Amino acid sequence: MKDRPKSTRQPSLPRLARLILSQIAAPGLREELEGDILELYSRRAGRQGTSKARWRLYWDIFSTARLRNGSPQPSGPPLKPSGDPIMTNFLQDLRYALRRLAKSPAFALVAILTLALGMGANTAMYSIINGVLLQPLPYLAPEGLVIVHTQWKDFGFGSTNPHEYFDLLEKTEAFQSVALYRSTSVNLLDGDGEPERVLGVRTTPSLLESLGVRPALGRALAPGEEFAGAHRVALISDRLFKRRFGGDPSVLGRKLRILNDSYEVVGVMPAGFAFPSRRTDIWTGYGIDRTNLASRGAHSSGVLARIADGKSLETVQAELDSLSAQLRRDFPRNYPEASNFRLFAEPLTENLTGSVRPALFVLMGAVGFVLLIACANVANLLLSRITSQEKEFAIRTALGARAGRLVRQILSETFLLSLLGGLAALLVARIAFEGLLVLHPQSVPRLSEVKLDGSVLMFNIALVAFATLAAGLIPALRLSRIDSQQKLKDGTRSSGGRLNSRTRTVLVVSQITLATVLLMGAGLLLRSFQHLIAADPGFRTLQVATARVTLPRDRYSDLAARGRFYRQVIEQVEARPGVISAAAINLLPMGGSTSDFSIRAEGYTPANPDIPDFVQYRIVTSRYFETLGIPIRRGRPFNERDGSDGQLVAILSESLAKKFWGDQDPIGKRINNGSESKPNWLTVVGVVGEVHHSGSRQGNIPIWYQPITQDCWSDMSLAVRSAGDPTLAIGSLKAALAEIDPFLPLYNIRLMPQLVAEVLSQDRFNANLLLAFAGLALGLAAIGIFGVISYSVSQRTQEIGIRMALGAHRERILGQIMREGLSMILIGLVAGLAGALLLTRFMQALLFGVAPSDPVTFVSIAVVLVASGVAACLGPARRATRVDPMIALRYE
Amino acid sequence: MKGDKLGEFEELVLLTVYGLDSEAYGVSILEKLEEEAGRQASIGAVYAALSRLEKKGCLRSRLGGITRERGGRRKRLFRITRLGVETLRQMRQVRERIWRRLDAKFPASEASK
Repeated sequence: MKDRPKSTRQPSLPRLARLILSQIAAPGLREELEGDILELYSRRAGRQGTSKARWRLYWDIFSTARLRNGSPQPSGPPLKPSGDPIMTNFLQDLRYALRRLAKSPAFALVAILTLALGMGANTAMYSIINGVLLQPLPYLAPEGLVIVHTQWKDFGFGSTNPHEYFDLLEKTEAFQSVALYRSTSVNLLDGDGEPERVLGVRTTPSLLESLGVRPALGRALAPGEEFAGAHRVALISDRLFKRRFGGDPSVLGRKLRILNDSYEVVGVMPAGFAFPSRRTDIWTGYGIDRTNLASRGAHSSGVLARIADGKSLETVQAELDSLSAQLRRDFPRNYPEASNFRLFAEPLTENLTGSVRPALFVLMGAVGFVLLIACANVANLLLSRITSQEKEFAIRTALGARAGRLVRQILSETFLLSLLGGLAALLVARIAFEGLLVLHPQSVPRLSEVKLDGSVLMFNIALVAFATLAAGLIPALRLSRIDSQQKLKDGTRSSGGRLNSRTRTVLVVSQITLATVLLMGAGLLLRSFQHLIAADPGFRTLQVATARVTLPRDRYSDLAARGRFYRQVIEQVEARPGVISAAAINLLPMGGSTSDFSIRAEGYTPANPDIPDFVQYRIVTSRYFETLGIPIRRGRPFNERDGSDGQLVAILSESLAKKFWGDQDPIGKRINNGSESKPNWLTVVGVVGEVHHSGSRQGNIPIWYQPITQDCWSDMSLAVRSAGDPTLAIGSLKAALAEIDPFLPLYNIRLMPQLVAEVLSQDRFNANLLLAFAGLALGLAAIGIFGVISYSVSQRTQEIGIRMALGAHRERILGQIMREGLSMILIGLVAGLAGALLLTRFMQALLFGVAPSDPVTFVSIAVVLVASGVAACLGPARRATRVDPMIALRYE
Repeated sequence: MKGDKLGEFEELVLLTVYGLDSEAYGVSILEKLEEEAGRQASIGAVYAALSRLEKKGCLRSRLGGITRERGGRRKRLFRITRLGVETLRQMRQVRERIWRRLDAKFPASEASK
């Protein structure tokens, strides 16, 4: 250890001490004061030890705060001016403000808390918007990336296929690179742990190239590896690498068995990378066989493309439009003119966040209102403080203080409050945000990418500036107009209070207005949410557990084997105690996936004969309708013999049968799911109730059903209705599966109500958040009302005392105060309802089953608002009636 | 304001400065006060008193030379003025006059009770 001799070391103060001292010591005294303090500190440290000396040090430092600048006449040589005079003045103002606030801690605390809540809500909301909408996607130059959709009349965006991929690649100059991908979930047996279901994607090497992302380990797909017959290679996600392969780099070169092929792992993607889904874990070559492509009519892939340098989205779209026109000419069977087919390029960012955009903007507007209300509250507090200090200000003005100096003082006080509020707001935002992540992990895309970063801090600083002006300007302006002559002549009582209380009333009325608008918005969302929950999805969700199983194609290659497997599982499960019935279906309602199929109906001509109707297609086992409680309207459900005698059967949903055949009896009529030239006829044996397949917002979707004996996918969902605890049914399912085929993972395990709740998660997120903001707004507005009424009561204590001495009844006094409060509330309410009528229209996209001008919501909000307002007035009004005339008259 | 009456703390500070002669500055005054009067004062209080005394004309100050002990900062050195000495003397005379009378009236006042 090197120990330098003490004498050569220059003594110095701890950095914090220096900082505080430089802030609070009057600049004219700084040199000798710092010297003295340093000397005392080092002497005491020598005598009593550093820690004791330190206490005395800070005591000394704070004791200097009272010293005025340059009080001892500078009789020595002139000191050099320290720093910029504006900055010095500003710091002086702040110091003074700090002292004034320290004298009324209750006021300061309330103001800071109010601002912290208002600003915290804004900071949290902004950080969400920043993370979800403003932050660029984690890809290279994401603004140049687009998803190319097919667009169809009456259908919207659809998937693409390899034909269109090659068209984009070879027939346009619009793109620098084009990538084709198709997601499939696969059973993964390799690595540690049980067999598992993971999401894989088959793609072209251009995918990673377009995204500008390189593997963290190993190599990317090489050109040519997208074609069938090429060496089969796979990239795995960092997540999978860590979870299943222990993060061991020797995974490179290992073989993965995916479906019935074996793939060599050649790379590991960087942590956090995910495309196209957040859950994608495996990327393999697409396996395109150009000599043997599926029909142009089938669409199930996605296309990601990077726009060529120097081209705008508009020129790209124009090129796509002319390509689409050419395709319609060349392939009229696949793209009939009447289908309005075209290829459409959508920016990737919009594709990922488009669905939450309107909600986030509405919520941002809402927190803006909350901040305004909070600022109005602080302005009110400041005004009442000014009123009580009017005399001081008047005296200072009379003694020559310029109005500007007083205004600056108020503004620096407000600035200090806002600054402290802003700091606390960061904490509030942090807590609010953690809460959101816990409550709503899935409802907003990219929510997990949100963080409090530099831009959020900048936003917070901007909020501080805004709050300073919004809360401080009105009080400062009022102050600058104080008439000192008037005030000094005025004896002990202040009369400017009248003018101030008018300003304060205006502030409170605007608070009520803003709170009303927010409450209306929240009320409408809440009603929408109620409707969404109450909406009958067409099936019973209680006591139903669901899960999905996928069969490997090599062991279950033919339809009969697959059908046998699922029927066997159902039989086993149904034999277990507590299980009422079980069924399999290719796609569960509320499961998030759809599959449509074109069918024609006997004796029905679609509006456009060239385009058959696309109808949702479901494969079910015989007791499916019973298990989910979907009512049979006509005919019968499927049974075990269906399809065995060569006669194919189908069941239609009510609206579909009605569309095809009107009021005629559909039983026995036929539909065709083949082509016109090669028909495949099925006889309708039943009609069932409607089902909200994708959530109640989407409503009824026409569906046609086929029994599992006629068609069976390799992946199907299972649904089990049980008499008791539905979670036990999961156990039964697992046991049955283990008996029949122990190598199959059961995944997507959910109770049906859970599935329904997940569909509503975004609506729940919106409603909860807006409700929280509106509650905050209502609370702040109530505090505002309370403040103004109490103030008005305290100002009129004497008047009330005189009137009571003259025989006025308590009820009369109470009534008068309440009337005062109520009139504010009613004016604010009317203005707020008018504002709500204008503003809630922008929420249309978020509403369900309520009009933006829903009268029920309007009336209930009015009731809530008046009730809280009255509650806020009641305290001060009751206090007014307890005024003792004798005390009030002596009160001067 | 010159020659205004002094407060008790000011009187002690002024006396200390007088006693320290040419060596009176913040730290020495503070330590002397602790030593002789048993007063734990903060540096801020001492400065405030010094500044009032200077305004009243009882003290004069100038900046001294640079010392290593103070990290290169100069001391403000205080000296009592003639007015200051006079004010102290006057205060002492007033007190002594009163005490003399009191001692004559209550010879055993210190011992009683």
